Amino acid sequence: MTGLLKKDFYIGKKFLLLGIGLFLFGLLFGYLIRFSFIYGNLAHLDASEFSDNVLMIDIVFTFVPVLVLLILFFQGSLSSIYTDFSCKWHLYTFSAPLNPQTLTIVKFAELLCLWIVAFMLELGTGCIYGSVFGFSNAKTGMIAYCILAVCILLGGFCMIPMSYRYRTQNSVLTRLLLGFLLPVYLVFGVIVLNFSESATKIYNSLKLWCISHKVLLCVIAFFLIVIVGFINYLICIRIIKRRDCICGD
Amino acid sequence: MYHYENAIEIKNLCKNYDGFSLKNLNLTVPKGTIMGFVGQNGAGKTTTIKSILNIIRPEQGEIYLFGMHHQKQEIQIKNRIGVVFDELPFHDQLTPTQLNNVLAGIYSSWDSKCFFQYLERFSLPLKKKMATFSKGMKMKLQIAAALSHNAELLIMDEATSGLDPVVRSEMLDVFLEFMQDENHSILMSSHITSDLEKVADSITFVHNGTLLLSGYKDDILSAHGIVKCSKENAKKVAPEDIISMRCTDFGVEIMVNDRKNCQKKYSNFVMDSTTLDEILLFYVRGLSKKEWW
Repeated sequence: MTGLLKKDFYIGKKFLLLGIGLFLFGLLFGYLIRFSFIYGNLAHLDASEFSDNVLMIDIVFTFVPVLVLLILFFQGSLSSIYTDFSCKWHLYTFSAPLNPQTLTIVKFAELLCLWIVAFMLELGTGCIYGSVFGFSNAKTGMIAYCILAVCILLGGFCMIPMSYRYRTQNSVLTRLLLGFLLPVYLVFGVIVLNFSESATKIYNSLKLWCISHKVLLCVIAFFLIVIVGFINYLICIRIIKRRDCICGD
Repeated sequence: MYHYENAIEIKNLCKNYDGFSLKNLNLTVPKGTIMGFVGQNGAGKTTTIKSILNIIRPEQGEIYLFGMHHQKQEIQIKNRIGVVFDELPFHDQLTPTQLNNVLAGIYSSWDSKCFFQYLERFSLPLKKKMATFSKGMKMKLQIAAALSHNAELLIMDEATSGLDPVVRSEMLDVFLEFMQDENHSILMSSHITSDLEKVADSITFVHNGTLLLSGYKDDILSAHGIVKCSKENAKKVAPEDIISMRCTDFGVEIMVNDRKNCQKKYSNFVMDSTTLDEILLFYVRGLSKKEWW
């Protein structure tokens, strides 16, 4: 198993570096803009303008870098399946002393580890950012971010068996939709664009419920991750065991 | 460890695809021998090899490696097999040093020292990405990887095709060295029958998913012969002696499979020895006596 992890690390290094680079760049940019609000020309804004703009800045420059990081980690992890197929590494692994459980668990473990790293980075930077600037609307932001992150992880779990079954190339669009666009549009669409009053009302009541049931929310998220992860793990093993659907000419 | 006589034993292997079927293939590679696996493109060589490696699931038949069932004791078996594919199955971004780290985590008996010795012997760079390697270098790297975990059986699918004669000769020397251990065996599929004539102990011909011929190379070569005669004289050759025929500018060439008897029976005709290439050609492309007349 260590061999497979090392291989994916060597192959996915560029995604990791790119993700971390963009994350740091976005964060740095966020800090600069927030400082300009405090000390620069933007300090003259009135209270409501200031609050709206700062909320936007906080979202864009704290959540987005982490989202980019998550997506790139996520892409890096899944694209290793694609590159395995394109260079016929899968044939080599099937002829090596590796069972389907090992092949599957490596992909799930990688995705989960990368997700945890990105999640911890977000929590860490969120805390630092919040303590430096006094995060506006911090609770809502953190909950929205957590929901997004969990959606991305669940999407990633679903995409692993799909990538094996359809050898990735047909599932790029689905992957993007499932893993990134859908949750982003759902959550950020409602919050940032404020396109529908009724949606905003639903969102606000949901938000209040979430804020008052944080522990329950964490438990639900945990069980969702475990159940969805386990089901997809079993599906993936089944696909790899059948083999003909992925190796047949 | 199991006591075994045959490194590979295949019984009644069947596999169906759209437009192609492998039909009741039987094959045995005795321990300590090299078997050449010969056939046209699409004859069923790769399908057979993939079935042996449990990469695809056959519809019917049984496969035993080292006396063990290929699916039931898959992990034990695969630790003892080295595989060489026609294309490099490793990621282009990796370097040979990184590949060593990867494979050391996959094979329980991986021998890094042996791997680096092969790399040195084949003059392969340690830190260069495989994307920059030539076809010959890629094949050498695959062979080095296949031989560096104390494999007892080497399975090669068109490993020498596309290589220049110098590299091919170098590879054949490595295979012969590997065979110095009497427990080692090789199954080698190839279009290049001249390579197999040099190293193989036994040969199996497949055509359109069926077994044409299988046996020891020397027996096959000594049993087959080409009778050369005029069209009129060709009628004197008994149909049961004929495998197939072909017309040349000088008359007719008839492939027979009982050379000694035919030499006696047709002592007036010229009888030539033959090669594996010609045998394959006659079996696949030659005309039967019925078609000829």
